[in-house]
Amino acid sequence: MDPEAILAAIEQQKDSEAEPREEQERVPYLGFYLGAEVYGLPLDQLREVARVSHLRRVPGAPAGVAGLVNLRGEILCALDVRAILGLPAQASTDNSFLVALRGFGDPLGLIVDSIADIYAVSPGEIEAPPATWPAERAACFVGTARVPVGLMGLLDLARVTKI
Amino acid sequence: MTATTGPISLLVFEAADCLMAIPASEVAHLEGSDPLFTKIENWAAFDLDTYFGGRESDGPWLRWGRGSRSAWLRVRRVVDVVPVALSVLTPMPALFRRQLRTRAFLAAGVRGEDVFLLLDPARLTS
Repeated sequence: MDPEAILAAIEQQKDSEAEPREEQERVPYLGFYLGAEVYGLPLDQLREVARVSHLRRVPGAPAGVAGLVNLRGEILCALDVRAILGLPAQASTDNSFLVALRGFGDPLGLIVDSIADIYAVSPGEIEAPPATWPAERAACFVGTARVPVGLMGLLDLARVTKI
Repeated sequence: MTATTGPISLLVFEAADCLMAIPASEVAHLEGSDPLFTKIENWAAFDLDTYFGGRESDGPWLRWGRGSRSAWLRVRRVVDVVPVALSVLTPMPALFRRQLRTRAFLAAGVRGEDVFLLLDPARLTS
């Protein structure tokens, strides 16, 4: 075997080793819909998904707050992601879902229209938000990733929950 | 010997499209919907509907008092008086404590399936 062939074999082996490593780096995201658009949040920040029921508006609360929700006796603050992202309001939340989050000081959840799927995204697939998005909206995302149902906006939860 | 805190009695009422509550022991009495007395007596008076950005209520007035502090509170309707264990009350999330209006809510609780807000009338600002 000549040195060139050995080098090529080593490179090929490196590539084949790199693939599983990249697989391990893929981060699962929960995909959900707001209207026709799909958004995602890291699965490790998800506590549970439930149907929205008994949402109580809090008078005087900021626009990004949908209200308080009784989730099996625990009271969660539900955030209105549509309002935070500057999207048109939904007429009713009767068919919406509550995405309860983990890792925040207060029990928090997001009101979303429906659940799409779980998508594994590798860091290399994450791109900057489209330049056409308003800066205020783009600031709520860590980036976007292409998934089978379209371009998924990856929420920056630290930013979204900072009201 | 262990000290235990028993349930407190809360007066639950509707105001500003919301269920709210205050300790029943702090309610001196209920008045009708005639607001004339607020002009006669020089006491603080809050129509809770308008306080939280809604239209003026046509409901009854509650006379609230705690120590030397007192105020008239106008609500849409009185719902019930219920015993509530302190352990089932949840402090309001931080983002509500930062807002001028919502900082009047101390905690939230559950009544049946519904959520109510524990109001501290001493935090209402005119």
